[in-house]
Amino acid sequence: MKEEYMTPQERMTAAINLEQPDRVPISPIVGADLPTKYYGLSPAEIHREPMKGLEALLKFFDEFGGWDGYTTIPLHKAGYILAGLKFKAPGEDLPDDHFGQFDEGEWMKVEDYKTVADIGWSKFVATEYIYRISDWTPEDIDKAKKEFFKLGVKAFQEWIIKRKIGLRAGSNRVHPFFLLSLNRSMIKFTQDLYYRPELVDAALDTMTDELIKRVTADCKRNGGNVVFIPEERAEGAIYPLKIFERFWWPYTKRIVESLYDEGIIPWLHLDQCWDLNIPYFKELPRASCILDFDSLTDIFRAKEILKDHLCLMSDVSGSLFSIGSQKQVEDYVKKLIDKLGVDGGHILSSGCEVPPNCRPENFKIFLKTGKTYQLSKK
Amino acid sequence: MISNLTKNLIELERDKVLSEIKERLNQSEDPMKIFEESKQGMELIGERYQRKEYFLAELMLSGELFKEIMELIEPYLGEEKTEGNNKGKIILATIQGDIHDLGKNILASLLKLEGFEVYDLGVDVNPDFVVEKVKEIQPDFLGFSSLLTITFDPMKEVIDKLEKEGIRDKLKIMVGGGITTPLVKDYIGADFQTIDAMEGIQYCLETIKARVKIGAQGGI
Repeated sequence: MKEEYMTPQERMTAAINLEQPDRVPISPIVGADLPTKYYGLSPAEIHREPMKGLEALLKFFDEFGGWDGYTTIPLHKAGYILAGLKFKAPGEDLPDDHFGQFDEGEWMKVEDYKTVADIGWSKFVATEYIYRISDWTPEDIDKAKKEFFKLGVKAFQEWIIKRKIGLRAGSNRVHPFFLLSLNRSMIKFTQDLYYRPELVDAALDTMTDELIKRVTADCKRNGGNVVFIPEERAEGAIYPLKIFERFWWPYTKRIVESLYDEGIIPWLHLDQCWDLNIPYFKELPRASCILDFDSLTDIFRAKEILKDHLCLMSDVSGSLFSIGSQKQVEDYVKKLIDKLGVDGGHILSSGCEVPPNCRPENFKIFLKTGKTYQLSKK
Repeated sequence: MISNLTKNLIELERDKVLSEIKERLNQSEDPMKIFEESKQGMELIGERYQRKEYFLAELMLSGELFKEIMELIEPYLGEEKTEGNNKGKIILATIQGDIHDLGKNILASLLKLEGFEVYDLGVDVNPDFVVEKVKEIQPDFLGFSSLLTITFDPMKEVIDKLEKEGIRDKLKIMVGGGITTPLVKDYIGADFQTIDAMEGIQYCLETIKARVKIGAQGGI
């Protein structure tokens, strides 16, 4: 079997740039939920003390032999609230043994669109909205920000300095369209798109500029060159192309092109089925972003359309990780490597987050196959 | 030939639809006629969805609009009953550990429009509570909505318990939601899996239709 000759950073960069790496880079999305369950910890305790969640995550990474890409800090209530997302936390709003979940509702009102368009999302959240989606005081907010910063510094030291992880995500911002949909609730937001389009457009316009500015500043400050941007509400499984073309595509194109000009790669985390929308991504500059699917999009068809144009991040599903057999996981990973990775442009990953009830043996075989299959064939 | 009301409903012209209905009700027009025209509009929207001309967005919008229509009509209906709430009974639940309810709520609205009697148990529902409700309500269908893999085992637990109670075969069990696959259907022991609400509706309608046919032929 051939030896590896690239560092995780070189391997990830090659794949993003559509060049051939020594083997496929591996970058599963592992949050704190999986290590919490694996080590028998309490989700409520991890929520109260997210630093313990980070320690569990690091221990898990080391125990399983590591991987090339994605790493994070444990997503906890403070992170969501500060971003303007209502959240139900274990030990507070949910039983101790439940995992935290976003709380969707009509928290944002129609009249808020104008405020967001006028002053931007961050100022709207900081001055007004945060008190609507939480019972926090200004002192609580200051405390949460300090703790969040401390967690970020520790994560940076552990992942980037010590473990030399290969994907420097310098920022993490929910797509403006998704952010509005989550905060208005999907049905109300859909009514806004059809019956109050000018209001939505104005807010999206401001939020897009704001995202570009803030991500650029974040990355300049911390040296990162990738931004994680989740979106799971704009695709052809939900909206016709006329909606996609008006409310999502122009803003996304602006985000990708502007950030790419700044040397930052948007990592578009696209849950749900995007089959209908894939051809649009050909309009983006070559190697300008990563498209990350969750197994509902036909990734093999996406590869045919976007071959030698954009890097795809693959999609071992949560159901395969949690109830599939080792053989099923191994076979699917081999299929992904054979069909997607021939010319670079493929990062092996999980479809969305690896679930907390993932079978450990399935995660092991996922990593092992990813690390050895391609090298064993050379 | 379709009426102006039906046409506007299909085009999701909310303001036009509601103002026409208000005007016609003020002129003491038969509310059942308005109901029938609205129902025809909803059926035609369903057909557009089947032909992939409409998307989930239009289904959601039309569902909301129909609710508003019914709020206007119902006070005028008196003793008259709108046809339909007899196609079958269905229990819906998002099982323990999961608090997502968007998909479940959309399915519930569409099922009600089709004339099903819907018992929505909510989110984060204890498996034993589902079993109790199945015994009490004796539904034709049980539908699980799932967005998290941690729901697989509690859903399986419900179905295993129904099996033990000897009532598993008296109903059809469906599972839906972004995380579900045929593998999940087999793992928990359900009869049907989908990530498309309209496919779920079709499954219920076809199952009921087949049952009626078997009944007419002297079967169950």
